[in-house]
Amino acid sequence: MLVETETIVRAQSGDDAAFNEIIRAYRKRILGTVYRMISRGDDVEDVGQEVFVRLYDSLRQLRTPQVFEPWLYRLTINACYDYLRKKRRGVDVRMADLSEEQVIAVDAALSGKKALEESQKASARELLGLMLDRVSKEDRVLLTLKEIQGLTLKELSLIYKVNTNALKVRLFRARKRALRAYEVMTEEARERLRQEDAKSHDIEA
Amino acid sequence: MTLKRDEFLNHLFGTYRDLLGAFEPTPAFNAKVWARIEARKRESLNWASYLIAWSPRLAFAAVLLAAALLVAAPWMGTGADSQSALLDASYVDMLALESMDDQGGALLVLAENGR
Repeated sequence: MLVETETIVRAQSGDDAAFNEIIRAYRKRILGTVYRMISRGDDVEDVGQEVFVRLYDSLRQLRTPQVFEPWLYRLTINACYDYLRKKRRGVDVRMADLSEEQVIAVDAALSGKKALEESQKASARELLGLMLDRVSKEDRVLLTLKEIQGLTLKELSLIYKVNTNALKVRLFRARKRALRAYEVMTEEARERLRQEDAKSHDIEA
Repeated sequence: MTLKRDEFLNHLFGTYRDLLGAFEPTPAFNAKVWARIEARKRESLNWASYLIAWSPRLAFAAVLLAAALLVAAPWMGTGADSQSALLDASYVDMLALESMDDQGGALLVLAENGR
């Protein structure tokens, strides 16, 4: 843990300095998790602040300070779920903006042969973020925690309160769906480019 | 999922992780969290003070309501009784009508048999 158990106990009893210590210790990790889950930089701090406000409101309910971290992760996941639920409507609009440039940028990023320019990085990042937008929010959160955040199955089993075998099954299915989403998405973008090319050839002819 | 696709997906996530990088909080992050906490506290305090300010009036209203209920209770009870009496009466009436029908029917049968 990033703070002593005693600090958590003090914060539980209403010590604001102890709570401030908790914020200072965990803010980077929580913001990193939120950033990876929602992949929209503008709203990360807002969701992160909400996590700590919820923590402040509910810290007294935590019976065992030793399980503070999985508990904090659960609060973070719930805040991200709430955010993603609200933002879900915007996804379809964003999908229409997907360009071939983004697909090329991802291909280049995946090949890792040359250094990407900042704009290409942003394109690739957005495209991969859109891939996660295409799967359910449950899949998205699980994949983010495991594949991007790098949590172990044991850590995840504490957060989700299920055994590791059940998690493996969930993870396998989520990965399959994410890959399918990526394939469909890139194929759509390539098809659009083919159509645009055919149109421009027709005009030239 | 084949191993090749599995590896591709790992690579995809790895690339995404690298592209995302770390997120650095702004210097005012803690202050903003505390501002939110304070705002929420004030909001709940406002509610509490609102309740406290209104509590004598609320208590008076509750007493009035209780008194009104006490006064109205016998009437309400009578109403319920009269309603149940009506229901019972109609049930009895129904039985009476049925028995009258049966008797009528029996008389009819007797009359028919006698004839």
